[in-house]
Amino acid sequence: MAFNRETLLEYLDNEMGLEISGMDDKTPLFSSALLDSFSMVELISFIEKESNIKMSPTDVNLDNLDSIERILGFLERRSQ
Amino acid sequence: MFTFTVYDLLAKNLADNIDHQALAHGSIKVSYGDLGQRVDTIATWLHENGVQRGDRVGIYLPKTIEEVVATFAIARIGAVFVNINYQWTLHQLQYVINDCNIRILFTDQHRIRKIEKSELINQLDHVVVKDGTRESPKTTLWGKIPEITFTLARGAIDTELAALLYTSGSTGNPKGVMLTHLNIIQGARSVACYLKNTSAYRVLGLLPMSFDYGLSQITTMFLVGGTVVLQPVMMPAEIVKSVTSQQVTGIAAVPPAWMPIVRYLQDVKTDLPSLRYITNSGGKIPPTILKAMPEVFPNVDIYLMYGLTEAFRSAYLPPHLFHEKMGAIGKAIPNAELYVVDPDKGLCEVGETGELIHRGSLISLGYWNNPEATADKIKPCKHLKHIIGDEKVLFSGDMVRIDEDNILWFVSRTDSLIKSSGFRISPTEVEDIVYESGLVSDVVAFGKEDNFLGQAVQIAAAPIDETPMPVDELMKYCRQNMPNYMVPQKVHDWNGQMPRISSGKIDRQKVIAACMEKLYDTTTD
Repeated sequence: MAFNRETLLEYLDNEMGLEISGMDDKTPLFSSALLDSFSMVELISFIEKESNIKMSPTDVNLDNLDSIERILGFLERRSQ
Repeated sequence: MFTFTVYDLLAKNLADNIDHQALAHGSIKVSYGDLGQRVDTIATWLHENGVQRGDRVGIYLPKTIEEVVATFAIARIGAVFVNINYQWTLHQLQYVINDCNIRILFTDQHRIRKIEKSELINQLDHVVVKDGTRESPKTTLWGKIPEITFTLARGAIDTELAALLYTSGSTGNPKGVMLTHLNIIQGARSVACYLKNTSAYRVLGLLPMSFDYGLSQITTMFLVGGTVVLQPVMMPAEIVKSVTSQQVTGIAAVPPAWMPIVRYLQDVKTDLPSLRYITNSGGKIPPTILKAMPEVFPNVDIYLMYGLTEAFRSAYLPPHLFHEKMGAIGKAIPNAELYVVDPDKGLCEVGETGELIHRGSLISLGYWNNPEATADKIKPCKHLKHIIGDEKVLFSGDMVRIDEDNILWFVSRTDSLIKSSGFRISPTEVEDIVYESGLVSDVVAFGKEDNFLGQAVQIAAAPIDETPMPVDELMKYCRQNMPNYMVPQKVHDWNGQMPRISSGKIDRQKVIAACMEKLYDTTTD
C-alpha cells in the first residue's frame, strides 16, 4: 500500500485520537506532547509496516518524526 | 534562609543563588531570578482572582517552564497544586476537578478546545491558557497576564497541604494523595543526601510532575540550587542529545524509558562525559537491561530505588552494591525506617518475606476526602508497638524479602493493583470504561507479568447477548477513552456467563485463573 499523506492523517485521526482539524502539516506532534511515548512506539510500528522501512534507533528523532511534514519528508528521503 | 515550604525551595535561591540557571528547555535558559519573577506574576494573578490558602488549583500542562511556574506560584500563596498528567483524558480530568473541587485550571491551547466544548467549563471559574489565542469570559491568556506583582503574604507553614497527587489503588477511582510542604521538603532532603546532589548538578526532568518521582527532580535540584533540564520528548536519540548538549549530570527514569535508552546506546555507543548518576524507580528493570546498563553507562553510578506515592520513597540500592545485589530495592533512605512484617507472626527474619512497612516524616496525610481508605493504609502496626508505640506507619501492600546482608528484594503485590509502565491502574478503572462502551455484559481486568511493561493490562470480557465479541470495536473504544498506558494488551473472549460468588459479584480470581491457564497452555515453552 502506498504510504501517503492521507494514510498518515487517517491513522493519526482514527488510531491516535488527534484532532486533525485543529492541526496542519507543521504542527509539532511530540515536542508539544500531543503524542506521548506510547503513541511513538505505535506510530513507528505503523510507519514500518505501511512503508516497508525499518527505522533504526537513530532514525527515531524529532527531525524525522515531529510533524506530518517531517514524517513524509523522512519517508521520501529513505525510499530513494 | 531556611527551607520550610515548597516556595522556600525557590526563595532561598533568590537570596543567595539568583543568577544560577534553574531551568533549561532547549535553548531557553531561566535563572532563579527569572523564575522568581514569573512565579510572582502568576501568584499575584491567583491572589487577585480570589485563590485562598488551601484552595486546590489544577495544572494540566505538558513538560514546560510554565508547568513549573504555575506549581510554585500556587505554593507561593499557600494554595494546593494539583498536577494532572497531560496524557489523561477529559474524563479523568473531570474526575479530579470534581473530586477535589478545583475552580481554576492552567492548561494550553491544545487542551482548551475540548474543555470548552464540554460540561467541564461550567465547573471552573477560570482557565489560564498557555499559548492561547482566543479569550472568553472564563479563559485568560497566559501571555496577557500583567507583570505587576504585589508583596504577597507568607504562604503556608510546613504542616499544611502543598499538593495532591492522584494515583490509583487496587479498587475504585484514583485517589488524591495529600502531600504537605514538610513531606515534600523532607523527601528532597533525603534524596539530595544519598545522591550527593550539589548546585553544580544538572538533572534531566523527563518524568511528569504529576508523578512524585518527577516532582522530586525539581524539588531536589532547587533544594541544592542546581539546574533542571526539561526533557519533554521521550525519544532516546533526543534524550542523549540533551544529555550531551546540556551537560546533564543525572537522569531519572522508569523501566519503560530505560529499556529503549539502553538499546539505543548499545546500538550507538555514545560518550556521556557529564553524566554522574542514573536512577530508576516505578518498577523492575528486566535482567538483560540491568546487566547492560554498566556497559552503556560506564563510570556512572546506578541507583535502583523503590517507593509509594503515599510516602514518596522508601528504599534505594547504594551503587556500589549494584552488581552484587542486581535488582534489589536496597535499604531505607536517610531519615526513614523500614520494617518487614508478617501479619500473623510479626517482624520477619533474614530470608523471610513479609509486607514492607514505612515509618517516617515522608508519610503523606492520606487520601483526599477518603478517611476510610487512609485509615486502611496509614495506621499503627501492632507488631511494632514494642518499638514505636502507636505511631502511625504506612502499610505498602508490597511483599518484600530480607536477604542475609539486610538488603530488601521486591517479591509481589498483596492486592490486585496493576502496575504498567510505571503507572498504577486499578482494575475497576479499566472495567468501568469497558462497561461504558456498551459492548460487554461482564468484564474483569487484571495484570499479567510482562518483561517490558512490568504488568500488561488484560481483560476477560463476555459480549452482550450471544453475539461474537466485537474485539476491534472494543479496542477502538478503549483507545479513545483511556490513556495509552491503560489500554488492554489482550481481550479474552469469555463464553457464557462469568462465575459468581455468593454476593452476586463476579468471581474475579476464578476468571483470572482461567485466562492465565489458557495463556500458558498456548505457549510452547
